[in-house]
Amino acid sequence: MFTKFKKVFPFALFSILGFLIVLFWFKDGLYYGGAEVGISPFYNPERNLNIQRFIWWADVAPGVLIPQFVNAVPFYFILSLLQKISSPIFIQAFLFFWLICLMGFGMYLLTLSYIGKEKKFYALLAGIFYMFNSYMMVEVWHRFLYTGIFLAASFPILALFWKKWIQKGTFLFLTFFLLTNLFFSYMYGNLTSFIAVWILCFLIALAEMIFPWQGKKMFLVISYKFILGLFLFLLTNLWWLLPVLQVSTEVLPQQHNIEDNLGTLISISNQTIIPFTLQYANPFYLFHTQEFGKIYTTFIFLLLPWIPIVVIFIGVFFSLKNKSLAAVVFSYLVALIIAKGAASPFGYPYIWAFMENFFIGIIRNPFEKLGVLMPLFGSILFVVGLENLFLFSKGKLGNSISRLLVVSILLSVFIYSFPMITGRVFNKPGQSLKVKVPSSYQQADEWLKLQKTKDGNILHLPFSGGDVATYNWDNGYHGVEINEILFTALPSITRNSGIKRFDETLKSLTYSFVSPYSENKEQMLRVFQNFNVRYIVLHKDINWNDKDTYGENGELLNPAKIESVLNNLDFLEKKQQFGQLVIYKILDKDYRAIFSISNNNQVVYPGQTDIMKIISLSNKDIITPLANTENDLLKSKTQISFPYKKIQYVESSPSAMIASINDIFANQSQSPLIKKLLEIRNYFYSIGYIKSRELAENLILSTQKILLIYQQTVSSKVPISNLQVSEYESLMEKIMGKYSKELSIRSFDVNIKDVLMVHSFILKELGNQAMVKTIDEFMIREELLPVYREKSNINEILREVFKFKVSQDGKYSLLADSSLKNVDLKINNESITPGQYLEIKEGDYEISRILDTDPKNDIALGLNNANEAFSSGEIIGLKKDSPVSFKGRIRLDKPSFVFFAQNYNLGWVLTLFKENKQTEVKDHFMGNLYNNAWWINETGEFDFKIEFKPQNNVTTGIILSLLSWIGILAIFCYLQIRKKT
Amino acid sequence: MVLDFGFGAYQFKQTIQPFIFAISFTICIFYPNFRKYNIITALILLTLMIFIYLLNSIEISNWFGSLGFGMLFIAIISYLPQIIKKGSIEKY
Repeated sequence: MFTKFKKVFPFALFSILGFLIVLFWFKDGLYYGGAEVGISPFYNPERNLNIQRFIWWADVAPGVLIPQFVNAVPFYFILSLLQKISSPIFIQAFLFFWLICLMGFGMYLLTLSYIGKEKKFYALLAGIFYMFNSYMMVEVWHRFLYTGIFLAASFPILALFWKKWIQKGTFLFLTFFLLTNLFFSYMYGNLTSFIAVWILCFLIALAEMIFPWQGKKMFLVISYKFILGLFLFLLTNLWWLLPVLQVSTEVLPQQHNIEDNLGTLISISNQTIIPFTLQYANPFYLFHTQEFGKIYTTFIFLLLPWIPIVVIFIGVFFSLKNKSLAAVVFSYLVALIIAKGAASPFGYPYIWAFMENFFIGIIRNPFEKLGVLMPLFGSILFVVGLENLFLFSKGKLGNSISRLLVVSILLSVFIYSFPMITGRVFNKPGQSLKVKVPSSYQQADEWLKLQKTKDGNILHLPFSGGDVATYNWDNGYHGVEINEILFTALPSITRNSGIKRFDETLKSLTYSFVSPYSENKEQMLRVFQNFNVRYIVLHKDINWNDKDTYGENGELLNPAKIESVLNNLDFLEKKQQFGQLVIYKILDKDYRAIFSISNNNQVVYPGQTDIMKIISLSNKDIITPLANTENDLLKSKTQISFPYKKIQYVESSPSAMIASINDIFANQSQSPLIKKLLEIRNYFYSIGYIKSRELAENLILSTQKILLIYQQTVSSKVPISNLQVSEYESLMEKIMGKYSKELSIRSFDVNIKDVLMVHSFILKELGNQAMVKTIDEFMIREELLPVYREKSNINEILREVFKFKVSQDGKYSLLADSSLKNVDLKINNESITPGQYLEIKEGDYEISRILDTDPKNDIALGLNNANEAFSSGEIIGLKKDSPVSFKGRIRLDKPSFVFFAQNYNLGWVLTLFKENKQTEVKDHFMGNLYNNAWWINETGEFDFKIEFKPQNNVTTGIILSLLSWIGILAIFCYLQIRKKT
Repeated sequence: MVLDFGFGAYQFKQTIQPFIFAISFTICIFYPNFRKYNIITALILLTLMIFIYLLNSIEISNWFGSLGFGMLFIAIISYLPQIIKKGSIEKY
């Protein structure tokens, strides 16, 4: 009986611990949600499942490509089953219980495999230390990212199975390893978990391989096991790896660039300096925002975490003398080096790797993403240190004192982690993560479902244009916008997509409610139609003026003001009010379906003009060709071109230049020109953008050099030093070679241009025409300067110069705000007035005007094509098979443009079926500055299909993974049978 | 130097730690008998780091900490051939 109890005791202990923790956490009867996770996945797992089994999230309208969460499907599938028999709070508590339990028990088993089966007590302590340490408290539970929680929970058990596989070569352990990966596949929602797991596997394999070296044969055997394990892992995970790897290469560069990644790495490395990393502390949450209270800044709490760390270092020195543990020390040191990122010492390889490879950027926060390696190996070293400390003190001080010492050390661990026990671990400053969704949301959702509307989107107002919201619910809510989960009847337009062009267009849903746009009802309807809006839900319970969420200027609109605008729109019908939610419906006659034929459209080259200006000047459906593509078809269409650069101030008169140079000599670093350069340099230094900082530094150096040369030769009449000039030229070549569109310094183009114009002026004075030409060409190439500059009379010294690309010959007119009618406008030096027609040939053009009092006015160039034929036709039927597949029938009387109101993506493919012949429509454009538009150059009646093709990668991946699993299980069975016979 | 700051122009204060690391590495490789002292120095520096950290001087604490950790890392790495050969360290 006692032996049986001894066997189950460790598991029972971790279960009781897990149960008690969960009891404390959920004592209020509320579940946890908010932050980056959004509303708890336990609120409506079935909804999550339905969204996330597709890599195109159509319910986050107007659609967003998120391939990495397809691996959450098994998790949501299980939760959706539990949802039928249980409440969200029970499911969350149940899951947390198992995860906590697994963290401790897994670590217990792993430690036993290192320190020996007889040392169960110490293995138990390792499990407890793994559960209660600063890293787990802050980076795992407080960060509240489920991917991180799943990773931390599965890590020890994965390490154990992998270690057994590498050591014994038993296929059973590899199968268990792969199955654990399958059960915890949710953690791969963050691709860095993949890296963390395989660093762990590599370290374990390396330890077996070379600590100690057992000959070439053993090396090859372990290498083979490693490669086989990795190969089977890849095969069995193809169902999510395939879409993620294929699509991420497309999505990631749109959202981040090398400088962003590097900047994040370096600024985070300021928080992962050795004194913080060694104690697993995240200073941002512990000391800066003090999310666990001020107590963590007191002397005692500053001291407490060092106690287990000293024990770990004692463990390091004893482990190095132990054959089975020496490798753990190396793994621990590697884990520390990895987790501290670019912090000193030896931080440069990280920076170098980030500069050389964009995709390494996914680990730009290495402490958070890979730091879990530290407590894993640290827990083993902790108990080794503890044991040796106990034995040493026992010999010197006696049994009682040494026991007291061990208890004190354990107490220090528990006291430091008290928020883990009390539930305070989930606290955010001013906001609790506990959520209770008001019943009005369920009522509103039920009402919407009863309408049985088949297509259309629900627009949630106020629309922030961002992805975070704060609600004034009973327990509050602060985190990612969650309306797509709360409203299940139709897709919800509730947050941004993360892609700049689309998000800029989505902002029209906010700006439309601001004067003067709110007075233009037709334009407002057009915006709603373009986004396939059917219902509008006004959230009066949103904390619209929360400065933490929406910034100091409060970007979110007051719901009361929006309500007064909505109530005056005659194309809207106020349908229902549930609590703080008001529901409006667009009249059926004004509703525009997700798939429609456009009979009135024009080509627009938007440049960098803001969305409302474009909509104001273009009252038709918009078609935008992809950058750098020419399409003859579009030449027959009415066009509008906006300049690429909004405004450029050109001040190039000799007197202005001389004044600027004299100012520099008189005021040195206080002159505005130099001061700005220094500010730019310091700004990039502070945010860790190395490349931009280097460029700014080089520009400062080169400016100093050219000014020195100018002072010597022009003022002091000393002959030009060739050495100085060649040094200057080589610096400038360096700058010009590295000045790329990818760099953040480009946001300071205006300032850089001012400085370079001073350079250009001095070089002219010095007679260095070759360098003047090089710099001028560089400025024109990089669009710092227009192709030409006006100099003919005094009025033309200050001009705004706009750039145009005219893609075809034709008769153009100027489109401009009425206030611009009386100003002096010129196209390539020829005067023109708005409304006047000009014959213009294909090519690059510039339009300039004398700077007036309102530089925000936009000008566009419009081509009216008299020969254009208008489309006509009808969508006869449209059926939504799934969020990524639509079928229907269309009749076209003339070749036409069709619009599909999902975010533009080349993955969307329109196929036509006519007389047993199927044709993919090739002319695919961006429609209405965010969605998909196709040109169908045929007439008649066809069946059609619109499909998001990359979803097929998931299907292919699932088939391949299934086959792999069948293969693995077959091998497993064969080996078992062979073993028995 | 390269491991800490990459290729480029260095300021004098940036060269101090790499210089000490270079000396530490040289001692560990060419004078194995002194490795023990290297470890002791590293541990003293790490202890200093904790004390200075408790006094809230994070920058100085970081300087001592990164120096101590770097030296410790170098010292332990220098035992690598012995560990590869025998599986553990027999004597520091």
